[in-house]
Amino acid sequence: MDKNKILIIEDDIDLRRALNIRLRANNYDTVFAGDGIMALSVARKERPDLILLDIGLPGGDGFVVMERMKNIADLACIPVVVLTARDPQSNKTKAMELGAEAFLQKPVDDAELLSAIAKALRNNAWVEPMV
Amino acid sequence: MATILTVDDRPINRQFLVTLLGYGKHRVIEAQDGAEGLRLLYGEHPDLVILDVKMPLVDGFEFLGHLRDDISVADTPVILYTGLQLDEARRSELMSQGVTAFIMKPAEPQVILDAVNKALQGHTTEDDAALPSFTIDDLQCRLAAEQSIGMRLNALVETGLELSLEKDPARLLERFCNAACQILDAKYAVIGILDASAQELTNIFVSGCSHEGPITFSPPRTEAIDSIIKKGRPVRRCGAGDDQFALLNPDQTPVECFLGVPIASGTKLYGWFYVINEKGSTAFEVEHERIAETLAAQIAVFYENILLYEEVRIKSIELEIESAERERAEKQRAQAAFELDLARQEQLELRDRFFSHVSHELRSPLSAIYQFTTIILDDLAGAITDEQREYLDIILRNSLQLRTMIDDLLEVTRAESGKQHIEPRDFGLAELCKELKTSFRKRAADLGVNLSSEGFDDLPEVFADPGRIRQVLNNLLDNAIKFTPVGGNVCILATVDPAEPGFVRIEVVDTGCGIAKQSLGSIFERHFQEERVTESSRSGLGLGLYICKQLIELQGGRIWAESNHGLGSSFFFTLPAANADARCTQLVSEKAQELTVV
Repeated sequence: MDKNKILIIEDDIDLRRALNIRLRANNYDTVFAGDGIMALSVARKERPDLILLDIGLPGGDGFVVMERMKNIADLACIPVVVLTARDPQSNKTKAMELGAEAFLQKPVDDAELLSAIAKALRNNAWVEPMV
Repeated sequence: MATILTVDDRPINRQFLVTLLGYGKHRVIEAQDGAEGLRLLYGEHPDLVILDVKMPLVDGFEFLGHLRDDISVADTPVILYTGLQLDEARRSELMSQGVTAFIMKPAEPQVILDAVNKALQGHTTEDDAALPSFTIDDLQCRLAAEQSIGMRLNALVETGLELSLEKDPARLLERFCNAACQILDAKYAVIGILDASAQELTNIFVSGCSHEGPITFSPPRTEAIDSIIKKGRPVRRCGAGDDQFALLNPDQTPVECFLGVPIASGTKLYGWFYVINEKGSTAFEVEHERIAETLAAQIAVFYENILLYEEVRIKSIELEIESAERERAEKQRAQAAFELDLARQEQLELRDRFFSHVSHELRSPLSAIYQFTTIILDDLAGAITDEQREYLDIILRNSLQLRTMIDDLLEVTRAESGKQHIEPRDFGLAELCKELKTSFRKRAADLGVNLSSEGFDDLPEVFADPGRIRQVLNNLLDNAIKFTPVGGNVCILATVDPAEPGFVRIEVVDTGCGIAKQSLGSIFERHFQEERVTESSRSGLGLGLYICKQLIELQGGRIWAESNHGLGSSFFFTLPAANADARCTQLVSEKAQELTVV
């Protein structure tokens, strides 16, 4: 079975690098975007199985990215896990309403991160086209 | 001479009777209403009462009733002098009550004289032949004079009514001056208003002056004027030709007749007024004096009323200004308080935003530290030595502590601005307890502490926010493990206390160093940290228990601690039980308690 591909949308280079190492070590393929605009074009090109999305981003924040994805047929059903430094109290509800699978606050436990990703992929397995 | 009491609310009627029956013929005493009439009746024992019927407060009939009830005055004859139409039956009824005559207003003087004479016949005194001694001519002559006086009195009443509506003091005095001149048949009338000390004239009004234009005349304080002021009595001189009176004439011509009266109300003297006539004009008689006195009394009352009215008006304006001022000040205060409150709110808001921002900014670098530490620890960057692993564990532990501190800081900020968010629902604690034991197992084992739990199996569900309860238990367990020495025990106990039905009680017990008695009350306060904290057990900001208290109380529970210093501590908290049965039980038991009390 092919590795699942995760698009990491994160403007912090250090954290992006760390997430890359962690996810690859757990048998995922990774691609990156550093801002909201690149995020959409990379997503279109790479067709990731899951998007790990930061909220505080240049070029349109994570919420904007989610809204735009909703309007693009190919991207609308890609599961999103939000990973942000922002306060869940004021942001979690909005993220969930926009269709996020999980809301994680930085710094996140490795175990928590991996289980959230696995769960999101499992939940969305049925939309994967069988090749 | 008989004493006749006239009870009538209209002065003009009394005046008429006084003029007709008084002045040497009889002693006439006046009462302006029934009550005053009764006082005079009992005090003076008059020989005859001439009674009006329609009067305020005590009317004629009531007066009559009182009169007949009192033995000492019961047989006083009474003449009803009224405008009221009375039928025959009523008349005979009243006759039986001792009414000797009925006189309809208005009445011919002769009718009154006849009735009075008839009534007084039964009350003969030694010298009671006064009335019958009048000749008819005398009477005719008198009546003509009385009628003219009656007309004057009418004019006086009308003037009075007219003047009583006047609100401007100067116009009042001026109009009065003209009216007095006419009523008293005088060539000149002069009013002088005095200052408070009755020394200086403050206002003068003159009527009858021959020249046009502004009046510059100012009467000197002659002996006559001085006498009016000092004695408060009228002064009347005729045929004097005295020079002092010429000085009081606005035209400075010789004066034949002078009549001056004080204008006073009660003990307060406002001024005086006088009228003068030249030779060949009407001479001022005693009747004129009486009318002048009446006029003066009236004008004094009107003048006083106007002054009072003026005073009240000014006072009310002052009050209005004052209350407007107060209202304005009140508004300003309210506005200031509102602005202060707003500023405080804004400040709080600003602080919240600042903390939120700081916490956000701290999390990103912390995240990178944590992630890379775990990457190295998990050998994802190649093999590491045991020593390196040990040091990396220290980095990891500290970064996690830092994360807790950031969380606490934000939590406290929220708690203090009332923005803590609780999402309670029904859930079981057993699952949560298992999770917590799992997550603390390694830590406890590392520190040589035995971790156990008890009582969760048959526990009812609670109604609370699971995330928040986890937060509280995390904190309590972390503390308990931290402060318990190697070989000690930490246990989570769950019970339903029969003393507190409807609540589930959780207890975290340790066999640590315990807490000093004097500190037990304050450990849940903000920024408290007892001295027991040593280098090896740094615990951050000391906000943990404060946050626990906030969270538990927000969910309807209580939190407290017990400790034997040196033997360990117990931390308790309660949570409302979830299921409806438990809630019902609680309600029922509350009701039962109430009933027991009753």
